Amino acid sequence: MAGHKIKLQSSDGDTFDVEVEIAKQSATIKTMLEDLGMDEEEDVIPLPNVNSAILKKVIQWATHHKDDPPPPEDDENREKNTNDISSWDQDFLKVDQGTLFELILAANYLDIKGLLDVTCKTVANMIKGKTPEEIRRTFNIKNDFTPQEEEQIKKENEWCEEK
Amino acid sequence: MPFIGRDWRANGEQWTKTELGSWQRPKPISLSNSLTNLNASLSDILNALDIVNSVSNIRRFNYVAKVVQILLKEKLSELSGNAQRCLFQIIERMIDTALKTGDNIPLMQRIVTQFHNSIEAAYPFYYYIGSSQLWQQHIEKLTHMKEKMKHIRVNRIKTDEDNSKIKFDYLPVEMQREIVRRLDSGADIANVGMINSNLYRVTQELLLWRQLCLHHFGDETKNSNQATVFGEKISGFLRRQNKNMNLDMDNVDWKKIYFVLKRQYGLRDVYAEMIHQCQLCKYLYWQDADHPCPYEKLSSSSKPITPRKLVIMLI
Repeated sequence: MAGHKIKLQSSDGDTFDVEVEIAKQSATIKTMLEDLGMDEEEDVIPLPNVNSAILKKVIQWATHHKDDPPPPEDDENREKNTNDISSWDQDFLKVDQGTLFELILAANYLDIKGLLDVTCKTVANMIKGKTPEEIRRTFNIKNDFTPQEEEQIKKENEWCEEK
Repeated sequence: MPFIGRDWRANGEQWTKTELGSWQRPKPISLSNSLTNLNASLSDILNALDIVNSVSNIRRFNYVAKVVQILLKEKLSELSGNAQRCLFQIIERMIDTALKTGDNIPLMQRIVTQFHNSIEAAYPFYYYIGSSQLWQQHIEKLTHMKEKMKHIRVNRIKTDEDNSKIKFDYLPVEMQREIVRRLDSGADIANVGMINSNLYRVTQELLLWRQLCLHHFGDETKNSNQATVFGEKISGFLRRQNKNMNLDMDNVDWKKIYFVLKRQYGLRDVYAEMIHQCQLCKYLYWQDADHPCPYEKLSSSSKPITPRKLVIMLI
């Protein structure tokens, strides 16, 4: 049914009207609708793990990608092709790190493969070619190794890179 | 080869707007015979393929980077002055893009340093350009670029320090795994492992390295049965190992295999978008763009052109 809408409720109580076809890109929502028969217009689907700011972004993404062909199954080569991000997605993901990680969590919870893929690729691109210290600074992560442990891992990796 | 003009009934010419606001016709590039009958200069072709503007497209960035690297490493002395100017332009654009997006900065630093080195090595004979003044200019330009890359990098990390509600290391392990799985270089994965103990564990998973091996050395031979058939590179390695000791297939050190095979075969380059050549009219064009083929109604067939092949074709 084209144009048929359902209501999604974010963790902070906002509801969003979304076309069923768009919402069904989330395998989680699709399962809910099909298995639980929540097909009535009155029903509100609660999404307790997603706040409204992020849900809004997710709906925006899903609306733009509603006509995409289904992605090929388990294509590992595509997965590692981190530059394969459409320009729309690139613009869409020009957000701060916190939002980016929340989008990853939401994509995982809602089980939207395409969104999870581009968000993870975006993070992977932030890692590429950097030294450990640079990665730490990029993501503001603390080093919790003891000097001995660090030495040990360095040795492990030296073996890897020696010519 | 006879000249094949456009049918008079064909669509009119296409004009596209350039970034400067002027209009230009897309220049077709047809290589009638890929290796011999080349009647366009390298700079013409770089322009026609719109390489300069392509670098702001992340899908094309890596491809262009590879072409540029091959050119300045091996072909510098074979480039015309115009082509060299073109090359500078492309690199400047790439730096701008890298700075704007924050991606590929280490790659650009490598390219600029490489370029600087090969130009510097031309002293005192300036073999590639033949003029000490131009050489001086090039060196100054490159030193400036190098400085620019260093400078911005420090700034970028500083601004990143004070935001983020959720942080990378607070993500659930499954999500971290998803991200690490998308890295295609073992060195990057090893570097992630050195960040902290939590991420170290993620990068030690054998499955991760197994996937990486299959990606680079797998040759994509998947059989219809359930059993996995490894490509020649991996199975060859396993056979050699097997001679020495009885190998337990469940306990293969895929990390080791990756680095051994990497040394032996090098890694597979993957590009999001490549330049293709139409097999009918020999047009070169970007995969996502279309090309006006005079043999339109025939089944179209095109071959992807690797950066190395493109350079060989052009020079």
